[in-house]
Amino acid sequence: MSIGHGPATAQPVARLINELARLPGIGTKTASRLAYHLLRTSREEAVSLAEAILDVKERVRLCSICFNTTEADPCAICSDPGRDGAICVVEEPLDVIALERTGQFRGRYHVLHGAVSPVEGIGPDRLKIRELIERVEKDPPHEVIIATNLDLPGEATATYLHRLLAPFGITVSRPASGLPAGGDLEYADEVTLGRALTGRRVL
Amino acid sequence: MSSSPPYAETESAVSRSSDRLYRCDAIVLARMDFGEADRILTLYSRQHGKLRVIAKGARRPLSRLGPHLEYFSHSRLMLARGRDLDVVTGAETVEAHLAIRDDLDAFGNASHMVEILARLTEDRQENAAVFDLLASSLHLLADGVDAFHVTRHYELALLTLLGYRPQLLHCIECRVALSQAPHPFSPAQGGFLCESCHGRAPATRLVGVDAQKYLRALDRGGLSATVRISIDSPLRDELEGIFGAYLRHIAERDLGSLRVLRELHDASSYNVR
Repeated sequence: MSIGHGPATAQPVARLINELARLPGIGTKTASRLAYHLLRTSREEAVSLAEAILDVKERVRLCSICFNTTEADPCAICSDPGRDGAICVVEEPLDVIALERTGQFRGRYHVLHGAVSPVEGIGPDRLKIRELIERVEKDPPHEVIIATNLDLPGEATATYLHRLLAPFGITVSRPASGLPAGGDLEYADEVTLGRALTGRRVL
Repeated sequence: MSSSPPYAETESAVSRSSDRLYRCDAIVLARMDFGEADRILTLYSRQHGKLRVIAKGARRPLSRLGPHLEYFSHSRLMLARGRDLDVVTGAETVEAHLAIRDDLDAFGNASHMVEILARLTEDRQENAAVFDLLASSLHLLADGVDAFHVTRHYELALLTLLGYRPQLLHCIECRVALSQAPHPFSPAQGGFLCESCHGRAPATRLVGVDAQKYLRALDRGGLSATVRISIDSPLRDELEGIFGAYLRHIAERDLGSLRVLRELHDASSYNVR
């Protein structure tokens, strides 16, 4: 869908604005600002941006084992012999980055590319769930950590995966949930505070 | 006038700010990520009907709003009128319906309930009875009452409140009382057809006597009349099908939750082998 720009906007600029406005979180106002900024930058900078976009589309694909985004298949994490036999299941590739930053997990990942959300029409068939079950069947890990988001679709996905993984007799776990670092107790919601109490640890 | 006392200005400033802020009881029907960490929510509120609002920063782990704006949870909100979307400035959970998270059947059915409400209503059409129906139905699901019965009751009650109550006792065309036999249900007309009128709409499916009995019991006696009826899975499918077809006709689109619910039901199927 294209948005009408008056005769004051040159056609190529209008086209760029329309393309940019399709990006998540960018409206026409921001898109216009970005378009005019690009118009003013040097040719090299513009080409470098255009090439980066093409590169991403041409060189990046999904790892055939964990479905994370990668340049080489299997990805660096899947082909690292130093990793242990645990699988951490996450919703998005960005979650892998967040977990890697902690340095606390030495296993491999499995990216589902979403969570079960009936309201949005996303069912288990749209996610990499069948692939996870096949992976577990072929090479049983000692543990599967289900690190989907702690919102309702994430929790429902975890419940669903737990049901599917139970017959394999492996440990299926979920990251602990509780109070955030730097958080104030008085502002915690009932759900978080309740879970923090049930999951408390002895000092 | 310049003679007005100095406090008059403070007073009007207060009333102006309270014009801008308002409170409501609401349940989240749908949400969409927006920008860096914001969320656009579709709510159904007791006081103002369906609303679309924005919750700034709700996706951040330290957000004070986020945990209170989860699907299906009943929250008390403070909203500020915005230029386009009203902004959530405060939120407090009244009833989180936590048990729905751990029960896939309840989760799928609750999703279906909020989806049809979002599809069948317009923005800012206040209807407190609809809110109360949704709140009590979610409460029953969280309490572990059979999701099938709760959902069918919700569907019929919602259709009735919104003016789409199906005709279950008489032929929708000629008004003759229906006999004890299978009859076709016409989603386009919103009711059953008798034998003689059926000929004019041959494409519609026949609905069995048991399904018709269930619908009438539901219409007459509500959930208490049906919750003890034990029904087999073909009858479940038949009843789900009737409501599904009628709701799809009114919403003029496919309903995603129903499809996902079916996928979740088939869940264990590719596991047991």
